[in-house]
Amino acid sequence: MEKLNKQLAIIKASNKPGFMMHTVAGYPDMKSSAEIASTILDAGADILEIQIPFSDPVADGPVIAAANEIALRGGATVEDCLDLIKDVTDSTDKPILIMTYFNIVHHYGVEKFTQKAREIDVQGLIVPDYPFDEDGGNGLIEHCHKNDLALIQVMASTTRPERRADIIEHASGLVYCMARTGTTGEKTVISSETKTYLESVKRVCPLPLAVGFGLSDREQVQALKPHADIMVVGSALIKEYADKPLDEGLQAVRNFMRNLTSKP
Amino acid sequence: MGYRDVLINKDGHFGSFGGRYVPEVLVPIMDDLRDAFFEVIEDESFVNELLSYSRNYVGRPTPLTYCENLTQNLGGAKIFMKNEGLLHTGAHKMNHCLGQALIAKRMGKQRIIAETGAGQHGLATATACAKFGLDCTVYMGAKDYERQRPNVFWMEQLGATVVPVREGDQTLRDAINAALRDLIARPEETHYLLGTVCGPNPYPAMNTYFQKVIGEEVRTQVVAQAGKLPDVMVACVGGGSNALGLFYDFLDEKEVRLIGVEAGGKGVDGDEHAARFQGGEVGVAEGFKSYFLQNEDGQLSSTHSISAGLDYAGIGPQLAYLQESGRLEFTYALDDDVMSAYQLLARTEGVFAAMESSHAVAEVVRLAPTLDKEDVVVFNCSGRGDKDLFIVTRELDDEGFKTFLKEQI
Repeated sequence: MEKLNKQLAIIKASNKPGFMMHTVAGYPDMKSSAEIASTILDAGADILEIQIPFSDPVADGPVIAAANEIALRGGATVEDCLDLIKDVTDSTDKPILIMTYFNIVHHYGVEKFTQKAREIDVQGLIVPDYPFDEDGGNGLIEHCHKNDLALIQVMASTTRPERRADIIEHASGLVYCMARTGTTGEKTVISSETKTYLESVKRVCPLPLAVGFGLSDREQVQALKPHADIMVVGSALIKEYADKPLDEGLQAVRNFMRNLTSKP
Repeated sequence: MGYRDVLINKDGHFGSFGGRYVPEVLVPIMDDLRDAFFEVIEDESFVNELLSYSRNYVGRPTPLTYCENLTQNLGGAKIFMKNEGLLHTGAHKMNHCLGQALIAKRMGKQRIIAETGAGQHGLATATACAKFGLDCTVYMGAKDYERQRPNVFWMEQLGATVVPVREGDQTLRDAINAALRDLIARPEETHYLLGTVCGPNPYPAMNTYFQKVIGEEVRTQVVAQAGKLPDVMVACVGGGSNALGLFYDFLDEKEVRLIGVEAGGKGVDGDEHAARFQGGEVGVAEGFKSYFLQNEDGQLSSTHSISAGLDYAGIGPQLAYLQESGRLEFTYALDDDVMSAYQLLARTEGVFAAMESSHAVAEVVRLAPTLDKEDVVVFNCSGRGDKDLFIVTRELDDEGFKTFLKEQI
């Protein structure tokens, strides 16, 4: 977690929002996804979450779900994805997280997966269908701890107040707040309720807050900046390079990142 | 603690199976539903309302029929059929649709969403929504949407919106995922009326509760007709709702053998089947831990069965628990044997069983001759076969029907 903590400290100190970007390993194919990942990092991402695709990605919206499906149809295996992730971590000092569904981890073996993640210098896991209260009998929290991995906890605006405290207690690295009710990838309106919600989490959470789900442009970033430390962008970025030849896609990623991260 | 207590519990874990593996945004939705469910079942007015609609709208109790001709034909145990096919909309699905619609009403939810494979659960949901004045959206894999046009038409006639899902394999699993996404997007006003004993807590416990009436009725009926409890009970298992409905009341009577029949499709050696206990492994998907057919990476497999209702990669977590505990036996029936069993039941007893239920019949055909003549076998005819008209005529290559279809265009 050293690289992650270091990066989070830099973000905190900079007084600027950090950017955590999302990409899907194997989408549109394995080789292109490697280039896309390094382009995103070069273009100003502070943290990159790389998704290992799953056949039933219930927490993802249509854009990322389609990317999962295309990656799997293209033959992306878990081992291929882990190799890709290793290549990425080898070539950057920025923290890399793995995002995937619990069945992928469970099937690989919780102990083996977390050991492997550490071995390839991954800083943490985001497992959206693994609420902390399902840990009994699975042991992912313990194995992440043993392997120095952050197990990123997600908080929703509808999370009951008494549960918020439990989520924070189980959190490591950062807390991932959903900016709206919804799966990833539909445009979020930054309402006063969203701001109030983020402020209420901030008051009780000692860790940096990442806010995501539906972020796509600079206006939203400006609106959220006072209320969160890190902006998470997934679907909007994938839309930039979906259905484009690789060269054009990479250029689109650079333009998108420039626009997103530039000051007003 | 008896099996029955384990199966309907607020915590939603059944041994190591079950749980509530959902994105955080769904956690409060599931917790609210769980709390509402465990509250209403203690509320006499709810229980009476459920009973009243069960009797006067849905058509409970359904008969238990002694299959005398089938018994003689097979020359073994006495065979009894619980005929859920006589329920309104033609299958046991109506039991949990009624129950959940009543809960949704009490929770003040005006909008119902559901997934459907063949369309039976969607049809029962649309029916309950029409009856109770609720908005209804049914998600259906685009492939199922195309090949189950009659049910799409009926759902639309009932006022439901049917949405074809174009992701993934475009079948039941994708419909479930689409329904979950809808729920994530509009959780406050929506109730997801999930159609089997799968999914996150509280769905397995809740649907078991609404289906257990099947076995409760059988207990009284079989004692009246056969003078004893059944020796063997048989039900087909897709997600598992009709099987748990039949078995639940007998789980703690160990002398009653309980057999679940999975879809063997074209054979369990290849990948054209849906028999989770033949090659499936423990996994977590669609919100629960259970057995799933999956590949070497943990990606869920595509499945095959002649019956759309059994064509699913996962099995209800309570069934996984009962299998692991040794309380339930599991077997499978192949498509071809299912078709023969379907025809045999029609000719001997004058009953068209649904393709799903015909899996149970196929096991009865295999098993009954090996048992003593004094033994009593009860199988669940979970649905009637009218809905399978197009599948059966195609399987039997019926020339007259083909001509008829051509002439209709």
